[in-house]
Amino acid sequence: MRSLLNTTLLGATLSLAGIAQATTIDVTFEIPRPDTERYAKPYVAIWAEQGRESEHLLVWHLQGEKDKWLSDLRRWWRKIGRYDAQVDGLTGATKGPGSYSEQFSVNDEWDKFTLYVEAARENGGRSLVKAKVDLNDGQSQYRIPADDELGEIVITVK
Amino acid sequence: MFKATLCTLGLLAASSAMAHELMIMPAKSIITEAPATVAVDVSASHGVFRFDKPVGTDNIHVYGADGKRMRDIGTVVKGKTRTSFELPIAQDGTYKIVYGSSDPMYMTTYTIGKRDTHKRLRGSLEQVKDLIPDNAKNIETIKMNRYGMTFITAKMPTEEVIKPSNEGFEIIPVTHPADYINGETLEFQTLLDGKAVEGVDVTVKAEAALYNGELEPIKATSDKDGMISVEIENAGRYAATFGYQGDNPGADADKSFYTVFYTFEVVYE
Repeated sequence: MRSLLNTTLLGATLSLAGIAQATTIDVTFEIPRPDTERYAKPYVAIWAEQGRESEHLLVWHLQGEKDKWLSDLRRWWRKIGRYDAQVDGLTGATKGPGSYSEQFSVNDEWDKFTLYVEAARENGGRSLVKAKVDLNDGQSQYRIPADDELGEIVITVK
Repeated sequence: MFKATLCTLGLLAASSAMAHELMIMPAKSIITEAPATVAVDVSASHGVFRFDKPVGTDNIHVYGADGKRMRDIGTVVKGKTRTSFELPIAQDGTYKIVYGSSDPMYMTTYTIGKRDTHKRLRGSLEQVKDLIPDNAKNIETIKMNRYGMTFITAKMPTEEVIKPSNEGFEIIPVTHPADYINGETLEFQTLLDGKAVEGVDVTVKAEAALYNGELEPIKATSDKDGMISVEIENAGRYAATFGYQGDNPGADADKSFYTVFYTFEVVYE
């Protein structure tokens, strides 16, 4: 009897887990080529926030030596960078001007969140843009207009 | 009424003698991570974020991320206009820099003659009693405690140096100094020996006022829970002066006047 109960419980947990699917989003964005003398590839971070919680998705920064400029991605730094020693697993080298498309799975328990993209360039500007994503409203695409350091961003919910 | 006026006069006298604001100015208040070195200047200044007079090298105290007082803060150099050192930041966390003498200063005031001429002397009643004429009236001594403080955070913010010691007059940053963002409200709590103090006045001056002509400082007063809220619209460096006058608990003075100079940085987000 006891083992039967256990099996039933396990089954129930499994089916619950099956219902909550991870949300996959595609983020397509552009790094513009500004007309400047001393160009440095920008630092870029992408993350999701819900209330006071944040989920790190991507950071591109200078690799190799210890990076003392990471705190220039100011909101990302305040929400994620300064707390998370494990951010290393989700990083890449900085990239030059061009179009990029990245796929992420966001926290399955969130049906509403704000997606943030921040870019900061040495001797240059900084852009912080966001879009409110609601998985229940049937909208599958969100657009963020271009800013100084980031071209137009398209977020597609899968 | 008369007494109230006198009291104000006494305060004015005290504040004009203490016209210099204590400014502790770190080159950066948010650092990506330790190890790092941060240049720090301490100056008693006529205007915000300017160097004017150096301070004594013995009264600079730095508390590390573990909350303990640091023994080695680097070489402290006393110049003509400022006192400087380069603080070694060995561990991640929040550091607190305090400048202030543990000995209070005293100011004794009295009036004399037909016109009640206002006189003041530096020193407690005990120290200056031989200098006060027999026909002096309205003798009052004010005890003045003042110190300057600032915070530096390397990587993640910590609370060890934020916690109240529950001794003396304290300004506790409720909003963590590493979380000062433009357009947001900063909260402080004022404590006297661990108890909330109502009626502490704060004046916040922006460094940017040196250049944009907006010289009007932000002013606020603490409520019955000792809480003070200040909304800072723009990023930049700021100098806050907290002031409070209360009755002096000891026999060495009639009144106590407390001042805390707090310099901080608001990050643009």
